[in-house]
Amino acid sequence: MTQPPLILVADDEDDVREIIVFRLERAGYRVICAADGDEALTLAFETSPDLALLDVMMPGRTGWEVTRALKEDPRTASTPVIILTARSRDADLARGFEAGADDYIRKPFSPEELGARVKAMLVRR
Amino acid sequence: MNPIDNTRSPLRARLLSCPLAWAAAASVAVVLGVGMADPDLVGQLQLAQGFAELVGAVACGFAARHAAGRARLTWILFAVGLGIWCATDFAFGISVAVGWEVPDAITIFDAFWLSFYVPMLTAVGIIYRGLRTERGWQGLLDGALIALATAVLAWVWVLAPLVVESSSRLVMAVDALYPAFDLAAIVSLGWLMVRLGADSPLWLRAVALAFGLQALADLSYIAGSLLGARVEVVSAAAFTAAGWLWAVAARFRTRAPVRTWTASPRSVPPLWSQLVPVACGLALVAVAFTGPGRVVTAAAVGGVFLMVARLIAVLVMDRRLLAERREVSEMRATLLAEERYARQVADEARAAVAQQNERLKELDRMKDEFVAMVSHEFRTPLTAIHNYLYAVLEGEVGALEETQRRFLTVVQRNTDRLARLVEDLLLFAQIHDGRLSLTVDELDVGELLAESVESAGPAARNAGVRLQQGGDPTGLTAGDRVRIGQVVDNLISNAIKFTPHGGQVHVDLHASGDAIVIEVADTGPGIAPDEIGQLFTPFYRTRHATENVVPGTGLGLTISKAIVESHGGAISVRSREPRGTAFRVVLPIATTVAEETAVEPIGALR
Repeated sequence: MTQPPLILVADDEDDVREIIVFRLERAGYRVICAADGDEALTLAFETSPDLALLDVMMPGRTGWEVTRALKEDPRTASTPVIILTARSRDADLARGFEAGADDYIRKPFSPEELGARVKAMLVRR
Repeated sequence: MNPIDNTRSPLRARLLSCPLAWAAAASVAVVLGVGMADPDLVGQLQLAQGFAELVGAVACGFAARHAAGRARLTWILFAVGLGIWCATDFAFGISVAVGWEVPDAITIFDAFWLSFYVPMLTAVGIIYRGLRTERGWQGLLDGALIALATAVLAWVWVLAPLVVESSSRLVMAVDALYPAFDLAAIVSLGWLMVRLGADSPLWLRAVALAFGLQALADLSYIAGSLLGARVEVVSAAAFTAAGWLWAVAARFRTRAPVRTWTASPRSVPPLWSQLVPVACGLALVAVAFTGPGRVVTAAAVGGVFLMVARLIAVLVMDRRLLAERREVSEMRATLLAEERYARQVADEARAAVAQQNERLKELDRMKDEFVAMVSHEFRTPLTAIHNYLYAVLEGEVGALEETQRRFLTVVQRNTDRLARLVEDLLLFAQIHDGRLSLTVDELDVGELLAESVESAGPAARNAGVRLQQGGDPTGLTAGDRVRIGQVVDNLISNAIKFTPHGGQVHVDLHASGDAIVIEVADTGPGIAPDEIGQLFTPFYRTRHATENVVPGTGLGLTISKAIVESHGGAISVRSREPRGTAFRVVLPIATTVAEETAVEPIGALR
């Protein structure tokens, strides 16, 4: 029996990170989390997650930079990345896609939306 | 005789076509020819001379008749002078013919001949007075000065040494007066011709030439009496020619008044015309000091006075010119200073504008950062609140009592309201900056309406309002689904909010020409006529909404209008009968909506 997918969650806001972890674990996924961009990158290289949920505005590296680093490294190049962002202008979203993100979720998001997108991305893979 | 306007036709052509000129040439030729052949016939030839002078006098008289003002006086004087000359010549000729011997002394005829110069030189003076050239008087003084100097110097160095007897000296002196006066006239007129250059009129040249010929005749007479040669032919021919020239001058006088043809004198007289009179003056000073004789010394001293007068005239004129020039340069300096000041003001203004622009750019950048920051700072806690509440309300972290559930539902409802407010404000900020961008896709408006009506169902039931959809079930166009959805949601929620219990809200869709029309109508209290025009201005709330404290920010319609217009459509409102309001949105069917269109910043908010 295969293990449930491993999801990496990175957000510097503790409250937000914890409720995401809560939501995903309730949905049956395994979750590891990081509080800043550097930690997220280290964890990603160590554990090779099946999906990365990255906040944009983090200390250390931003979500964009982490995305780019993940996509450039052969170990994690195939890991799908969803960007979580409070910045909703098209320029900001475009930056995410330019960095290599596969999708984005706008804040504030509802639990249903989070669940649906994560599921869709994992199925796609 | 009609005067000819001599400003345009060339000189030679006019002369060749003038019968007077031909007559002059013929008569001179005859005099010369006959005189050369038989010198004894000279007395008779002087009749030809007299006739020429008569013609000249008559011509000047006719010219005077057709002239006006100063010009008329000038020609009258010429006519008088020529008349005297002519009459004296006839008298002389008749006397000789009758047998009177011409003595080698001064005769009564000399007095008359000399008096000829009075009107002639007066006329020259009048010509000068009528002019508006600078240094007009100077020309006259120059003429007098040069003439006097020539006469004095000629006497001292040429004539006096040749004459031995004292009685002959007097005769010689009188004889020398003639060419001296001629020279005075020539120099004055010639000076004027130098100033006018190519603009000198024909008559002026003819008069100057006439004086020249007279001078030639007078000089040859002196030469003849000194050297004993038979030069009467030359004088007779010269005088004849001069008489005809006076006639030619009168014939070609300018129609225009004398003063107008000096409108364009040369501004600076040539240098030699300044130096020659000065040289003459200095020569006279020298003669005055060496004093070869009382008369000569007196003449020389007179010349010195002339010289001084000339200098004064020059100085006076120069001062006037200098004053004018100073005025002009002062004006110029003032203008330059004003221009410099104006430029300085412009530079300062430009610098101020540039600085202002920099400030505005900075403010814009700051506002951008502010909006980005606000987005993040509001949306992050809202995410947390919304998600935690959801978990609790779903019972995922424990069972809830009814009261707890109810209270937390209130919290959730208000959180959602807060979230919508934040989104509205941020969207409004985008619109205001002209940064609204659309994701355009194929859009079924009917489907969208159905979705909005369905999601507004609970709110309508709570408010006791019947919500219906009618018209076409589908309407295809291109647009941003999310944004158009926002517009529809906004209109429906407004209608529900403002319709009392038991009322109706009707949503209609139909196609009209090349557009899709959405109508949202309610049976609420309607909108007052004075408020209906301001509904779409930012933050505007009707009196009814304010008094009844209906929730809302006053941004919904502003945002809806911006979205609709950025699709190339229009939104409007009207009151219904008997009561109620209807909002109408018109969207073009054609796919002309440009992606990423920027919306015009709303004018009222600038």
